[in-house]
Amino acid sequence: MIANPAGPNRDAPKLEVQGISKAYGRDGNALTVLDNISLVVPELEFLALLGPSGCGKSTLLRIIDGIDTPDAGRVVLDGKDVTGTTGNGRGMVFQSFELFAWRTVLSNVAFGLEVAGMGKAKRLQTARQYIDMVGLSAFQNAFPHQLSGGMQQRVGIARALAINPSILLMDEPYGALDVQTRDLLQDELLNIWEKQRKTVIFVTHSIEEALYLADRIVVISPRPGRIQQDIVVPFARPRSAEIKSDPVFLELRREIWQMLKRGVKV
Amino acid sequence: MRRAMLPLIGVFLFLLVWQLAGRSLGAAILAPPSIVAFDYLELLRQGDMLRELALSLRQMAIGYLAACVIGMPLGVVMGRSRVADGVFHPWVAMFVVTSTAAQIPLLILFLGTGLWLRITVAFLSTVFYVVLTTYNGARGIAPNQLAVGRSFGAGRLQIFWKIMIPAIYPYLLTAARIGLVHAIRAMVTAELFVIVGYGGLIHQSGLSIETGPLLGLILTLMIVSLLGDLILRGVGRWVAPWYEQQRLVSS
Repeated sequence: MIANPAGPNRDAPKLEVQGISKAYGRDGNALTVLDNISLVVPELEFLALLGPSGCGKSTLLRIIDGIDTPDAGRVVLDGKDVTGTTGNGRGMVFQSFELFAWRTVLSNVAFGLEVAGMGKAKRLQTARQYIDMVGLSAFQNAFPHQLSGGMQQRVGIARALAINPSILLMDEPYGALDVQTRDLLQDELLNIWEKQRKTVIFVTHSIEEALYLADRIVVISPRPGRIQQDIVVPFARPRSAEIKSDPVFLELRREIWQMLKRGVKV
Repeated sequence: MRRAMLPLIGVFLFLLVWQLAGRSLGAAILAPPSIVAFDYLELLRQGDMLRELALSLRQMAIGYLAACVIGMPLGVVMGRSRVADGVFHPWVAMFVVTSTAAQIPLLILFLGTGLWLRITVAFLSTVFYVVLTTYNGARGIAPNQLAVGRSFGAGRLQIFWKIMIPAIYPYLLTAARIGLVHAIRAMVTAELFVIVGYGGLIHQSGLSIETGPLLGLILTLMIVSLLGDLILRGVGRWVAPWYEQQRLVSS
């Protein structure tokens, strides 16, 4: 069942998170968000960070991307300490899309290449490829406000992919979308990923989403954020929506829910 | 269609009330539109009005542009740096609430009554509004928009030019528009003090027994201010087509 020939290479760590801690606020009433988190992500693994809201999973992802700095610990990418710095092949997709309202779809997607200093003709050509990949060719000259939420997030994904990252970081990318759009975009993401495998870290609070997309799920408990469980997802690829009604899928979903429930206070 | 008619009806009613009031008060107190229209043609024919206006506006423009060139970057820096905010904010807060007219006598002592006075008055009465408007825009930039820049490895200058400036564009446009109105007002105030230029013309007309030319001068001032604002809006729309559209969609 775990047979997955092109799956993650467990001998080659792409990313190592070593003893990351982070607190917000002043001494005295500081709120510990992440408490000594360590994990290893192999090359080409699709990893889901799963947890209830407020468990620090987004903060962890932002620290991995380098846009936030940890109070303690290191982020090691391809054997190099990259703590607190961005770039080096990391591409980030944000939860509320964070497109630039003043740029067209084309120019939004080309942003990463533009700040990297790529020439105009070349970066627009590259951007068009990725806009095509997410099916928005007809909208390349539209502004973000003219697009639906799902389309905006497609642009967000194309923008991250356009820099050809070796590791793709996705921060609850479908959290702001309705269920139908979310399902469609999950399938689209799997399709893209099958064509262009990369290491992916995908933050979500949806058990089903994590099970459907990921090779491995790291469950994080809230306040302070700690790794509660590390689960290998046993489904072969390519995957299709049918596995969502597979008994194994349903059993895993139930188990993870039992686990999460303990940490959730409504 | 009916919507577009409403302002015209408003203008017509205003002219009607003015005409009736003018008829009963007499031209020495309030000339009715029928007389103002006639006097206005005369003002245009004489040429003093437009010549003085052009000269005054040129000086106003120098002060106004200086206020934008200095005020906008200062506002951005104050909005993004706690140190700059701490140092400059008290000054801006003090000057923005102080009537520029009250400072004119002092400025006359410093600068005399010539070109520099008028430029300085236009500058001083404009720059603090520009600073505060830009400041508020810069403070309100969504942190995640800047995080996108950092995430893609943009440097500080790239983040400034490619994210901060476009993100506060609506505030820059508002600052430019508010600033222009203040600069034109200040121009007239300063000229009334030292009786030169367009303000001087208004002063002299006020001494005459006819109010027609005076009202004509005021009318021209209104038209110039509105026209200036209209031009700035047009420029704004041309520079940033996304902004107006976005407002229409979200409203």
